[in-house]
Amino acid sequence: MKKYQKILQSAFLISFFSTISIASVVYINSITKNKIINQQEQEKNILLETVVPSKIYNTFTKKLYNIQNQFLGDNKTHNLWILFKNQKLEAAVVETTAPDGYSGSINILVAAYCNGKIIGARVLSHKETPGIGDKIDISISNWITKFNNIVVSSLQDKNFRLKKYGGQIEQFTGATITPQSVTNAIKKTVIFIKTIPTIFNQLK
Amino acid sequence: MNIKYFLYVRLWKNNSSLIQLLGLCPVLAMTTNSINAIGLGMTTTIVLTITNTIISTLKRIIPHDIRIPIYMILVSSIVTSIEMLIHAYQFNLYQSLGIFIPLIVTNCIIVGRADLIAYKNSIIVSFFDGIFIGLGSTFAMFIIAFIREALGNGTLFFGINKIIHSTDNFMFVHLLDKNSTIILAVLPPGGFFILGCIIAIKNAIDLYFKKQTVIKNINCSCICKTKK
Repeated sequence: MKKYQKILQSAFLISFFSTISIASVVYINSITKNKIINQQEQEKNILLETVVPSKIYNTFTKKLYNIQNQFLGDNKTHNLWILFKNQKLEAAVVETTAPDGYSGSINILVAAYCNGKIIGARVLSHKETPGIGDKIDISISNWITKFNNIVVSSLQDKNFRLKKYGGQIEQFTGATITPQSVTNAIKKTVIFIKTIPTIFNQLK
Repeated sequence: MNIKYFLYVRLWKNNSSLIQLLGLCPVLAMTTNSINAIGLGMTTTIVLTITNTIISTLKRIIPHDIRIPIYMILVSSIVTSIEMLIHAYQFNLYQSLGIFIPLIVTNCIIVGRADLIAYKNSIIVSFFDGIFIGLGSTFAMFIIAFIREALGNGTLFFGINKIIHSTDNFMFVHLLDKNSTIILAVLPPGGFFILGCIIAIKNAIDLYFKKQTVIKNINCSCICKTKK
Protein backbone atom coordinates (compact mmCIF):
# COMPACT_ATOMS: atom_id res chain seq x y z
CA MET A 1 0.00 0.00 0.00
CA LYS A 2 2.83 2.36 0.94
CA LYS A 3 4.48 1.73 -2.45
CA TYR A 4 1.33 2.81 -4.33
CA GLN A 5 0.98 5.81 -2.06
CA LYS A 6 4.49 6.93 -2.99
CA ILE A 7 3.77 6.46 -6.72
CA LEU A 8 0.54 8.47 -6.39
CA GLN A 9 2.34 11.19 -4.45
CA SER A 10 5.03 11.45 -7.14
CA ALA A 11 2.41 11.50 -9.90
CA PHE A 12 0.46 14.21 -8.08
CA LEU A 13 3.57 16.36 -7.57
CA ILE A 14 4.67 16.09 -11.20
CA SER A 15 1.11 16.94 -12.31
CA PHE A 16 1.03 19.85 -9.88
CA PHE A 17 4.32 21.31 -11.16
CA SER A 18 3.29 20.71 -14.78
CA THR A 19 -0.01 22.53 -14.22
CA ILE A 20 1.70 25.52 -12.59
CA SER A 21 4.32 25.63 -15.37
CA ILE A 22 1.70 25.44 -18.13
CA ALA A 23 -0.39 28.12 -16.42
CA SER A 24 2.60 30.47 -16.19
CA VAL A 25 3.54 29.89 -19.85
CA VAL A 26 -0.08 30.46 -20.96
CA TYR A 27 -0.21 33.67 -18.92
CA ILE A 28 3.08 34.99 -20.39
CA ASN A 29 1.84 34.01 -23.87
CA SER A 30 -1.39 35.97 -23.38
CA ILE A 31 0.62 39.04 -22.31
CA THR A 32 3.13 38.90 -25.19
CA LYS A 33 1.01 37.51 -28.04
CA ASN A 34 -0.15 40.82 -29.56
CA LYS A 35 3.23 42.45 -29.05
CA ILE A 36 4.96 39.58 -30.91
CA ILE A 37 2.50 39.82 -33.82
CA ASN A 38 3.07 43.60 -34.00
CA GLN A 39 6.85 43.12 -33.94
CA GLN A 40 6.69 40.61 -36.81
CA GLU A 41 4.46 42.91 -38.86
CA GLN A 42 6.79 45.83 -38.18
CA GLU A 43 9.77 43.72 -39.25
CA LYS A 44 8.05 42.79 -42.52
CA ASN A 45 7.26 46.43 -43.23
CA ILE A 46 10.86 47.44 -42.52
CA LEU A 47 12.07 44.75 -44.93
CA LEU A 48 9.59 45.86 -47.59
CA GLU A 49 10.78 49.43 -47.27
CA THR A 50 14.43 48.38 -47.60
CA VAL A 51 13.69 46.52 -50.84
CA VAL A 52 11.33 49.12 -52.30
CA PRO A 53 12.68 52.68 -51.83
CA SER A 54 10.27 54.80 -49.77
CA LYS A 55 9.66 57.32 -52.58
CA ILE A 56 8.31 54.44 -54.71
CA TYR A 57 6.82 52.47 -51.80
CA ASN A 58 4.67 55.35 -50.55
CA THR A 59 2.90 55.66 -53.91
CA PHE A 60 1.56 52.09 -53.73
CA THR A 61 -1.20 50.38 -51.82
CA LYS A 62 -0.26 46.84 -50.86
CA LYS A 63 -2.06 43.58 -50.22
CA LEU A 64 -0.56 40.42 -48.69
CA TYR A 65 -1.15 36.94 -50.12
CA ASN A 66 0.30 33.51 -49.32
CA ILE A 67 1.47 31.49 -52.30
CA GLN A 68 3.15 28.24 -53.32
CA ASN A 69 5.01 28.11 -56.61
CA GLN A 70 7.88 26.07 -58.08
CA PHE A 71 9.58 29.29 -59.21
CA LEU A 72 10.03 30.29 -55.56
CA GLY A 73 12.57 27.56 -54.86
CA ASP A 74 10.63 25.14 -52.66
CA ASN A 75 7.17 23.79 -51.85
CA LYS A 76 6.66 26.02 -48.81
CA THR A 77 4.16 28.86 -48.54
CA HIS A 78 5.73 32.24 -49.32
CA ASN A 79 4.55 35.77 -48.59
CA LEU A 80 3.60 37.79 -51.65
CA TRP A 81 2.82 41.50 -51.44
CA ILE A 82 1.06 42.86 -54.51
CA LEU A 83 1.53 46.59 -55.01
CA PHE A 84 -1.29 48.55 -56.65
CA LYS A 85 -1.32 52.04 -58.13
CA ASN A 86 -4.78 53.51 -58.81
CA GLN A 87 -6.29 50.01 -58.36
CA LYS A 88 -3.97 48.74 -61.10
CA LEU A 89 -1.54 45.90 -60.44
CA GLU A 90 1.92 47.45 -60.86
CA ALA A 91 4.53 45.45 -58.96
CA ALA A 92 5.08 42.72 -56.39
CA VAL A 93 7.39 41.81 -53.54
CA VAL A 94 7.99 38.10 -52.92
CA GLU A 95 9.79 36.08 -50.28
CA THR A 96 11.72 33.47 -52.24
CA THR A 97 14.31 30.75 -51.62
CA ALA A 98 17.56 29.88 -53.35
CA PRO A 99 17.71 26.17 -52.45
CA ASP A 100 21.19 25.58 -53.88
CA GLY A 101 23.35 27.91 -51.76
CA TYR A 102 26.83 26.72 -50.81
CA SER A 103 25.82 26.07 -47.19
CA GLY A 104 22.08 25.55 -47.56
CA SER A 105 19.02 27.56 -48.50
CA ILE A 106 19.20 31.34 -48.88
CA ASN A 107 16.00 33.29 -48.23
CA ILE A 108 15.60 36.40 -50.37
CA LEU A 109 13.07 39.21 -50.67
CA VAL A 110 12.63 40.32 -54.29
CA ALA A 111 10.67 43.32 -55.57
CA ALA A 112 9.96 43.85 -59.27
CA TYR A 113 7.52 45.51 -61.64
CA CYS A 114 5.22 43.27 -63.64
CA ASN A 115 7.22 44.09 -66.79
CA GLY A 116 10.27 42.32 -65.31
CA LYS A 117 12.22 45.35 -64.08
CA ILE A 118 13.78 44.70 -60.67
CA ILE A 119 13.09 47.29 -57.98
CA GLY A 120 15.38 45.69 -55.41
CA ALA A 121 16.40 42.52 -53.59
CA ARG A 122 17.62 41.68 -50.08
CA VAL A 123 18.85 38.49 -48.44
CA LEU A 124 16.69 37.71 -45.41
CA SER A 125 18.69 34.79 -44.03
CA HIS A 126 21.59 32.57 -45.09
CA LYS A 127 24.24 30.20 -43.75
CA GLU A 128 27.01 31.15 -46.16
CA THR A 129 30.70 31.15 -45.17
CA PRO A 130 31.69 34.32 -43.27
CA GLY A 131 34.12 36.42 -45.28
CA ILE A 132 33.46 34.55 -48.53
CA GLY A 133 29.82 33.83 -49.37
CA ASP A 134 28.31 36.30 -46.91
CA LYS A 135 28.91 39.21 -49.32
CA ILE A 136 25.32 38.61 -50.48
CA ASP A 137 24.24 40.26 -47.20
CA ILE A 138 23.64 44.03 -47.45
CA SER A 139 25.34 44.59 -44.07
CA ILE A 140 28.58 43.11 -45.46
CA SER A 141 28.61 44.29 -49.09
CA ASN A 142 26.42 46.21 -51.54
CA TRP A 143 26.65 43.43 -54.17
CA ILE A 144 22.90 42.71 -53.99
CA THR A 145 22.07 46.31 -54.98
CA LYS A 146 23.60 45.68 -58.43
CA PHE A 147 20.35 43.92 -59.42
CA ASN A 148 18.39 47.17 -59.10
CA ASN A 149 16.75 48.33 -62.36
CA ILE A 150 17.89 45.28 -64.36
CA VAL A 151 15.16 43.87 -66.61
CA VAL A 152 14.67 40.10 -66.84
CA SER A 153 13.25 39.12 -70.21
CA SER A 154 12.99 35.33 -69.86
CA LEU A 155 14.42 32.28 -68.09
CA GLN A 156 16.89 31.94 -70.96
CA ASP A 157 18.04 35.58 -70.62
CA LYS A 158 21.77 35.36 -71.36
CA ASN A 159 22.55 38.72 -69.76
CA PHE A 160 21.10 37.67 -66.41
CA ARG A 161 24.01 35.39 -65.54
CA LEU A 162 27.35 35.82 -63.81
CA LYS A 163 30.12 37.34 -65.94
CA LYS A 164 31.93 34.02 -65.63
CA TYR A 165 29.11 32.42 -67.64
CA GLY A 166 28.86 35.24 -70.19
CA GLY A 167 26.31 37.42 -68.40
CA GLN A 168 26.25 40.93 -66.90
CA ILE A 169 26.14 40.11 -63.19
CA GLU A 170 29.39 40.54 -61.27
CA GLN A 171 30.46 37.79 -58.91
CA PHE A 172 32.70 38.37 -55.90
CA THR A 173 36.18 37.09 -55.20
CA GLY A 174 36.48 33.56 -53.88
CA ALA A 175 32.87 32.51 -54.40
CA THR A 176 30.88 31.44 -57.44
CA ILE A 177 28.22 29.07 -56.11
CA THR A 178 26.64 31.60 -53.73
CA PRO A 179 26.18 34.51 -56.20
CA GLN A 180 25.08 32.08 -58.93
CA SER A 181 22.47 30.63 -56.60
CA VAL A 182 21.13 34.08 -55.64
CA THR A 183 21.14 35.23 -59.28
CA ASN A 184 19.12 32.19 -60.41
CA ALA A 185 16.63 32.60 -57.57
CA ILE A 186 16.09 36.30 -58.37
CA LYS A 187 15.68 35.51 -62.08
CA LYS A 188 13.04 32.82 -61.41
CA THR A 189 11.23 35.07 -58.95
CA VAL A 190 11.04 37.96 -61.43
CA ILE A 191 9.68 35.55 -64.06
CA PHE A 192 7.05 34.53 -61.50
CA ILE A 193 6.20 38.21 -60.80
CA LYS A 194 5.71 38.72 -64.56
CA THR A 195 3.04 35.99 -64.51
CA ILE A 196 1.11 37.54 -61.60
CA PRO A 197 -1.29 39.64 -63.76
CA THR A 198 -2.44 36.45 -65.53
CA ILE A 199 -2.92 34.43 -62.33
CA PHE A 200 -4.19 37.31 -60.18
CA ASN A 201 -7.81 36.13 -60.19
CA GLN A 202 -6.72 32.74 -58.78
CA LEU A 203 -4.99 34.47 -55.86
CA LYS A 204 -8.23 35.97 -54.63
CA MET B 1 30.30 32.57 4.56
CA ASN B 2 33.29 34.39 3.09
CA ILE B 3 31.81 36.55 0.28
CA LYS B 4 35.18 37.06 -1.41
CA TYR B 5 35.74 33.29 -1.62
CA PHE B 6 32.11 32.76 -2.77
CA LEU B 7 32.71 35.12 -5.72
CA TYR B 8 36.20 33.79 -6.48
CA VAL B 9 34.94 30.18 -6.72
CA ARG B 10 32.00 31.03 -8.99
CA LEU B 11 33.58 33.63 -11.25
CA TRP B 12 37.11 32.27 -11.54
CA LYS B 13 38.06 29.00 -9.86
CA ASN B 14 35.00 27.00 -10.98
CA ASN B 15 34.01 29.03 -14.05
CA SER B 16 31.31 26.95 -15.75
CA SER B 17 32.60 27.63 -19.27
CA LEU B 18 36.38 27.63 -18.75
CA ILE B 19 36.86 25.02 -16.00
CA GLN B 20 33.78 22.78 -15.93
CA LEU B 21 33.40 23.16 -19.74
CA LEU B 22 29.60 22.98 -19.51
CA GLY B 23 27.22 24.24 -22.19
CA LEU B 24 29.91 24.69 -24.82
CA CYS B 25 27.50 24.45 -27.76
CA PRO B 26 26.03 27.97 -27.30
CA VAL B 27 29.39 29.28 -26.05
CA LEU B 28 31.08 28.40 -29.35
CA ALA B 29 28.12 29.18 -31.61
CA MET B 30 27.16 32.58 -30.24
CA THR B 31 30.60 34.06 -29.65
CA THR B 32 31.25 35.40 -33.15
CA ASN B 33 29.81 38.70 -31.92
CA SER B 34 30.25 40.27 -28.47
CA ILE B 35 26.68 41.63 -28.32
CA ASN B 36 25.21 38.18 -29.02
CA ALA B 37 27.49 36.71 -26.35
CA ILE B 38 26.35 39.28 -23.77
CA GLY B 39 22.71 38.73 -24.80
CA LEU B 40 22.88 34.95 -24.43
CA GLY B 41 24.95 35.23 -21.25
CA MET B 42 22.47 37.56 -19.58
CA THR B 43 19.54 35.35 -20.66
CA THR B 44 21.30 32.30 -19.18
CA THR B 45 22.02 34.27 -15.98
CA ILE B 46 18.34 35.22 -15.61
CA VAL B 47 17.24 31.60 -16.17
CA LEU B 48 19.84 30.33 -13.67
CA THR B 49 18.84 32.84 -11.01
CA ILE B 50 15.09 32.24 -11.34
CA THR B 51 15.51 28.44 -11.50
CA ASN B 52 17.83 28.33 -8.48
CA THR B 53 15.53 30.56 -6.43
CA ILE B 54 12.36 28.61 -7.27
CA ILE B 55 13.96 25.20 -6.66
CA SER B 56 15.48 26.38 -3.39
CA THR B 57 12.08 27.71 -2.28
CA LEU B 58 10.33 24.44 -3.14
CA LYS B 59 13.10 22.03 -2.07
CA ARG B 60 11.08 20.72 0.89
CA ILE B 61 8.19 19.55 -1.28
CA ILE B 62 10.31 18.10 -4.11
CA PRO B 63 10.95 14.38 -3.43
CA HIS B 64 14.51 13.20 -4.04
CA ASP B 65 13.42 10.45 -6.49
CA ILE B 66 11.65 12.73 -8.96
CA ARG B 67 13.69 15.90 -8.56
CA ILE B 68 15.24 15.78 -12.08
CA PRO B 69 11.89 15.68 -14.00
CA ILE B 70 10.63 18.51 -11.80
CA TYR B 71 13.78 20.55 -12.54
CA MET B 72 13.21 19.99 -16.26
CA ILE B 73 9.55 21.06 -16.04
CA LEU B 74 10.49 24.24 -14.17
CA VAL B 75 13.48 25.08 -16.38
CA SER B 76 11.57 24.54 -19.63
CA SER B 77 8.64 26.70 -18.53
CA ILE B 78 10.97 29.48 -17.32
CA VAL B 79 12.96 29.40 -20.58
CA THR B 80 9.79 29.38 -22.71
CA SER B 81 8.44 32.37 -20.77
CA ILE B 82 11.71 34.28 -21.13
CA GLU B 83 11.85 33.41 -24.84
CA MET B 84 8.38 34.91 -25.34
CA LEU B 85 9.33 38.03 -23.38
CA ILE B 86 12.52 38.50 -25.44
CA HIS B 87 10.53 37.91 -28.63
CA ALA B 88 8.08 40.61 -27.58
CA TYR B 89 10.40 43.24 -26.09
CA GLN B 90 13.87 42.56 -27.61
CA PHE B 91 12.98 41.42 -31.14
CA ASN B 92 16.42 42.10 -32.68
CA LEU B 93 18.16 40.14 -29.94
CA TYR B 94 15.63 37.32 -30.37
CA GLN B 95 16.45 37.13 -34.08
CA SER B 96 20.18 36.95 -33.35
CA LEU B 97 20.00 34.33 -30.61
CA GLY B 98 17.37 32.29 -32.45
CA ILE B 99 17.48 28.60 -31.57
CA PHE B 100 19.93 29.18 -28.71
CA ILE B 101 17.25 30.60 -26.40
CA PRO B 102 15.18 27.37 -26.26
CA LEU B 103 18.46 25.42 -26.10
CA ILE B 104 19.13 26.97 -22.67
CA VAL B 105 16.74 24.25 -21.40
CA THR B 106 19.33 21.61 -22.24
CA ASN B 107 22.25 23.58 -20.79
CA CYS B 108 23.99 21.39 -18.19
CA ILE B 109 24.84 24.44 -16.06
CA ILE B 110 21.16 25.03 -15.21
CA VAL B 111 20.23 21.55 -13.97
CA GLY B 112 23.73 21.07 -12.52
CA ARG B 113 23.47 24.12 -10.26
CA ALA B 114 19.86 23.31 -9.39
CA ASP B 115 20.88 19.89 -8.10
CA LEU B 116 24.24 20.82 -6.60
CA ILE B 117 23.36 24.13 -4.92
CA ALA B 118 19.67 25.08 -5.01
CA TYR B 119 18.37 21.73 -3.73
CA LYS B 120 20.75 21.77 -0.75
CA ASN B 121 21.14 25.44 0.21
CA SER B 122 19.16 28.46 1.37
CA ILE B 123 17.25 30.75 -1.00
CA ILE B 124 19.80 33.59 -0.65
CA VAL B 125 22.80 31.34 -1.39
CA SER B 126 20.97 29.80 -4.37
CA PHE B 127 19.93 33.22 -5.69
CA PHE B 128 23.47 34.63 -5.61
CA ASP B 129 24.93 31.37 -6.90
CA GLY B 130 22.68 31.69 -9.96
CA ILE B 131 23.74 35.28 -10.53
CA PHE B 132 27.48 34.71 -10.20
CA ILE B 133 27.66 31.38 -12.06
CA GLY B 134 25.72 33.10 -14.87
CA LEU B 135 28.01 36.13 -14.79
CA GLY B 136 31.05 33.85 -14.85
CA SER B 137 29.70 32.17 -17.97
CA THR B 138 28.82 35.55 -19.52
CA PHE B 139 32.32 36.85 -18.78
CA ALA B 140 33.91 33.80 -20.46
CA MET B 141 31.61 34.15 -23.48
CA PHE B 142 32.35 37.86 -23.75
CA ILE B 143 36.13 37.34 -23.67
CA ILE B 144 35.91 34.70 -26.43
CA ALA B 145 33.52 36.87 -28.48
CA PHE B 146 35.68 39.98 -27.96
CA ILE B 147 38.71 38.21 -29.49
CA ARG B 148 36.75 36.45 -32.26
CA GLU B 149 34.87 39.58 -33.35
CA ALA B 150 37.98 41.75 -33.23
CA LEU B 151 40.06 39.31 -35.29
CA GLY B 152 37.34 37.96 -37.58
CA ASN B 153 35.27 41.06 -38.36
CA GLY B 154 37.54 43.88 -37.25
CA THR B 155 34.73 45.37 -35.15
CA LEU B 156 33.67 45.52 -31.52
CA PHE B 157 30.09 45.74 -30.17
CA PHE B 158 28.64 45.47 -33.68
CA GLY B 159 24.84 45.52 -33.37
CA ILE B 160 24.77 47.22 -29.95
CA ASN B 161 21.33 48.60 -30.90
CA LYS B 162 19.97 45.05 -30.38
CA ILE B 163 20.38 45.50 -26.64
CA ILE B 164 20.28 49.29 -26.17
CA HIS B 165 17.54 50.55 -28.49
CA SER B 166 18.42 54.23 -28.04
CA THR B 167 21.84 53.71 -29.66
CA ASP B 168 22.47 54.13 -33.34
CA ASN B 169 23.09 51.11 -35.60
CA PHE B 170 26.58 52.44 -36.37
CA MET B 171 27.70 52.93 -32.75
CA PHE B 172 30.37 50.25 -32.75
CA VAL B 173 34.15 50.29 -32.72
CA HIS B 174 36.13 49.68 -35.92
CA LEU B 175 39.39 47.97 -34.97
CA LEU B 176 40.67 46.43 -38.20
CA ASP B 177 40.27 47.06 -41.89
CA LYS B 178 38.11 44.41 -43.64
CA ASN B 179 41.18 43.19 -45.57
CA SER B 180 43.22 42.66 -42.38
CA THR B 181 40.74 40.33 -40.67
CA ILE B 182 41.38 36.65 -39.97
CA ILE B 183 38.36 34.68 -41.21
CA LEU B 184 39.38 31.61 -39.18
CA ALA B 185 38.47 33.46 -35.96
CA VAL B 186 34.75 33.56 -36.77
CA LEU B 187 34.64 29.99 -38.10
CA PRO B 188 33.96 27.05 -35.70
CA PRO B 189 37.60 25.79 -35.63
CA GLY B 190 38.71 29.29 -34.66
CA GLY B 191 36.21 29.24 -31.81
CA PHE B 192 37.70 26.03 -30.42
CA PHE B 193 41.24 27.35 -30.86
CA ILE B 194 40.51 30.65 -29.08
CA LEU B 195 38.66 28.85 -26.27
CA GLY B 196 41.70 26.57 -25.84
CA CYS B 197 44.04 29.58 -25.74
CA ILE B 198 41.90 31.32 -23.10
CA ILE B 199 41.81 28.17 -20.94
CA ALA B 200 45.61 27.91 -21.29
CA ILE B 201 46.06 31.57 -20.27
CA LYS B 202 43.74 31.08 -17.28
CA ASN B 203 45.68 27.99 -16.19
CA ALA B 204 48.97 29.87 -16.58
CA ILE B 205 47.66 32.72 -14.38
CA ASP B 206 46.50 30.20 -11.76
CA LEU B 207 49.86 28.43 -11.86
CA TYR B 208 51.74 31.73 -11.48
CA PHE B 209 49.74 32.72 -8.40
CA LYS B 210 50.10 29.21 -6.97
CA LYS B 211 53.89 29.49 -7.31
CA GLN B 212 53.83 32.94 -5.71
CA THR B 213 51.83 31.57 -2.78
CA VAL B 214 54.25 28.64 -2.36
CA ILE B 215 57.28 31.00 -2.45
CA LYS B 216 55.58 33.28 0.09
CA ASN B 217 54.87 30.33 2.39
CA ILE B 218 58.47 29.07 2.11
CA ASN B 219 59.84 32.55 2.88
CA CYS B 220 57.44 32.91 5.77
CA SER B 221 58.41 29.54 7.26
CA CYS B 222 62.13 30.39 6.87
CA ILE B 223 61.66 33.71 8.68
CA CYS B 224 59.72 31.97 11.45
CA LYS B 225 62.51 29.37 11.88
CA THR B 226 65.27 32.00 12.05
CA LYS B 227 63.29 33.95 14.64
CA LYS B 228 63.06 30.85 16.80
